[in-house]
Amino acid sequence: MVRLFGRAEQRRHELLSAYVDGEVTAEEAREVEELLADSEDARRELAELQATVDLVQLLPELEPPRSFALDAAPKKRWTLWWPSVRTTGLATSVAAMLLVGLVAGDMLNVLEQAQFGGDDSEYASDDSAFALADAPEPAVQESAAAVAMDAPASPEPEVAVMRSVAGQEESAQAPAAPAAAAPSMARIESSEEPAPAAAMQQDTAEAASQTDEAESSEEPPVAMRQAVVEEAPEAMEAPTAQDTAEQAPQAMESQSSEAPEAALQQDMTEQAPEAMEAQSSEAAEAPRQQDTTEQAPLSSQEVQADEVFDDPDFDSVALPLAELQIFAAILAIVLSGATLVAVRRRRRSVL
Amino acid sequence: MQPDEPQLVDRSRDGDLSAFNAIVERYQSQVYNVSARILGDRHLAEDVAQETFIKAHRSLNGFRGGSLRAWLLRIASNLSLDATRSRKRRPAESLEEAGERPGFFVPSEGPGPEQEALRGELRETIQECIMSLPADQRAVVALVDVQGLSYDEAAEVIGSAVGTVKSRLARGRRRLRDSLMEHRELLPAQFRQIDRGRASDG
Repeated sequence: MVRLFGRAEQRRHELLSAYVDGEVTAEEAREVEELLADSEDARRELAELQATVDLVQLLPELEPPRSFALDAAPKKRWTLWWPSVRTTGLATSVAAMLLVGLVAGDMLNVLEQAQFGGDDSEYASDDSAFALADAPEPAVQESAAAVAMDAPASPEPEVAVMRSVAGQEESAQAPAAPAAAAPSMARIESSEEPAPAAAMQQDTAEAASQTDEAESSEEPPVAMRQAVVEEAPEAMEAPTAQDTAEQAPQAMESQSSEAPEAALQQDMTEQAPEAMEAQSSEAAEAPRQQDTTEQAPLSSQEVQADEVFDDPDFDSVALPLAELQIFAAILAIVLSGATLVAVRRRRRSVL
Repeated sequence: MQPDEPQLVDRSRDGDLSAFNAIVERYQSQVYNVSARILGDRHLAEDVAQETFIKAHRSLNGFRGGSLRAWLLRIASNLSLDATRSRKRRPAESLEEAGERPGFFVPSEGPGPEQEALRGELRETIQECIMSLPADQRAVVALVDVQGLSYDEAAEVIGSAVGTVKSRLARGRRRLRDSLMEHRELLPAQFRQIDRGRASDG
């Protein structure tokens, strides 16, 4: 209401001001004249405006102190083309989203590894009461079965990514049990297959688990472990056992999201040592191992990881995630700088 | 007979400096005056005016017809506002400058009675009141009230709609009126009368 009134007021000021200059349509002129006939205020305002304009117009015209004629044609200056604020802004947000995506993807998968290693420690510790409270038994068993079927059949990265990014609904479907299945399968696989890849896998897993041993705050229930044992042989037989092993951590993640406090704690405490662990094992082992460890953190890379395992010649597909992150960060910073420059340039040209 | 503007522009584009200087001669006073009213400083205005024509010469190819005056004044007002801003970034200097700003040089022509009244302090005061306006309003007041441009042409200069000119002008004039009222003892009779009428009413 006040705003409406203010707008009408402003329109009246504009009409009167334009009337002083004769910059009104015939209709507006009639409106002003009616207004003037009715309102003492309007008459005074018009008089004041007129007096103000008269006063300003009486300012003398200034004589230029000299001629501004050019002695010689000025050199053409190279002017930098600059994209518009809209372009730079859009590019900046794309780079920022890319960065967020890369970092989030990385963190999620570091978590996966943390879980992956953490599972191993379960076997060392019998303290499972905590996790029992978090994951109700029946739900775990049901969903465990569901995913055990699901896991080997979903080698597409899209599926994996969708699952890892999933909200609560999907995480409810993603069971906690296969998480436990993962390390056991990995271990069985590695013991039976002398393939270097599998051995490496275990190395990594065990190295990771050492850091986690102390923090057994998130113990899956006993029932879960049983489910795992039941599931394990099947998965072992499947040629893509790796798949299951790598998807398992996601399931664990889902579980974590059901227990926000515990998950958070783990986020904070485990990420850093875990990442370091992974890297140190990378550094220690052959280049081939780097592939494995670098693949692991990226859920969308599962298929590629599989290929690495399947094909011994195929060993340089690893996505340099860290480099990509740095690149995206630099890109975002540079582009936001460009946006600032564009904003300044626009402001200048606006008048 | 003077060559017309499009012809001068064409010749300037072809590298005829005398043609361009004919344009300069034609518009330098207006360019200088608009700059001076926006900046409130004749030395800065001088620099801006020179820079305006240098820039105009460089970007003649960017002139797409229309009003040459509006185009030149646009460059001038943009440069003036730039200069205002860069001066604002050094507040200490700008304060001092505001206090000791030298008066505008007025050519000694036969002073009419009104001009007589407007000498010295009052002239300073009006310019100071214009300077107290926000930059966008100041530019429109300088263009329309000081330079006498039509709303259409002023809109072309500031690159906005006529409605924008209207509203900035209305706001700027009201503000100007208010700050002029603070110096009513300097104002000519015409203005003081209005003021008195207002005081007795209120």
